[in-house]
Amino acid sequence: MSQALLRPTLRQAFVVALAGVAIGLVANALSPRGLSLSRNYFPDTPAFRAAATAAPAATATATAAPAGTNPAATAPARSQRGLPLIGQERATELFRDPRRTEGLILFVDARAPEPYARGHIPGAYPLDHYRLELYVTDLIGVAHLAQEIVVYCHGGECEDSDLAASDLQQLGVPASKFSIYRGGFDEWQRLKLPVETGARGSGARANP
Amino acid sequence: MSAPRLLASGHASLAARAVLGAVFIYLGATKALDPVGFLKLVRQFDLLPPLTLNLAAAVVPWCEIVFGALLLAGRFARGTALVSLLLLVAFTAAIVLRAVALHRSGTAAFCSLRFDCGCGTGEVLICLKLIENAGLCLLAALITLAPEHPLPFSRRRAAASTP
Repeated sequence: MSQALLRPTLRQAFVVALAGVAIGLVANALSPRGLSLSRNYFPDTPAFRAAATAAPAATATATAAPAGTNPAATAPARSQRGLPLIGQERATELFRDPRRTEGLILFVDARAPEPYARGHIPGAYPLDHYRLELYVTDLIGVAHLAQEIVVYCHGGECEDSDLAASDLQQLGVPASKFSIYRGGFDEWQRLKLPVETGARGSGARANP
Repeated sequence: MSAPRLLASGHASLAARAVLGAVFIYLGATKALDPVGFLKLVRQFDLLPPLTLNLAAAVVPWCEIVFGALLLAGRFARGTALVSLLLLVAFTAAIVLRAVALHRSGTAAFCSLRFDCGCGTGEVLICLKLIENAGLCLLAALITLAPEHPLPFSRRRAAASTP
């Protein structure tokens, strides 16, 4: 490229890059799906930090355990941020527990609104961590009243249930109430357990 | 038509603009429609601090749409192609770094690795993605360096405005 062409090309590139960023910022601000530029969407939770600092104590206990026992094997599995993980059997047990209909056991769906509307565990409250402000007012009162809160997302390695639980903890809901359904909605649906479609309490069921 | 004549005529640049512009608009729109999904995928690269991560996830998809539109329209084509080239090189470097890290942490052969790189095309074989990105880089370089070719409507508009 000749010198005569290089300078205008660089100038153009600079202007185009600036225009792209400016349009991007405006579009993000106007879009209903836009991201907050100042929010840390992936914070470390108090539970996570507590679990991390508690690890040496747990090791010390393990060394004092009687021979032939393995405390690690009996300890509940933990999520990435230190919350207890539960399997499908425990999730189903809690779902069928009469306390659920009294609001003492709460299911929270941490997936995005679109998959939630396509199907969720009946009665589960939506809580999209990335659009917290839309859901938290409906949920915070019932979360404080509940004895147990089961949070789930798609399942597998999805982190959204951990993040949603962390949001509720930051609003004062004790960490001891939470458990994460590890298999998530994908497993629930695969096992043909009851599913509600549309809004919470719509009564529309996809599975019996 | 020989390759040098094709380049000199500007037809190669026009075709490259059409392809690169359409690809950028498609990939940008896919990400702009699901910025949260894009944010999660960019985070997996573990290259950016939290607030820069948000800025990148919010702005990059729209930048791609703007660059794609400019390339299709033939406005500021050289400058746009140069910025697109820099963006593609940065994306490709990030993909290579992540693929190398995954390759070292597992036993899978490099070219059997597949993951969603946040490129807007879902989960892909990484070797194919790298070949695709190399092709897009070549197109961007061609637009930057080869003679320009105005779109037909630009010619008609120019002719119409001539007394």
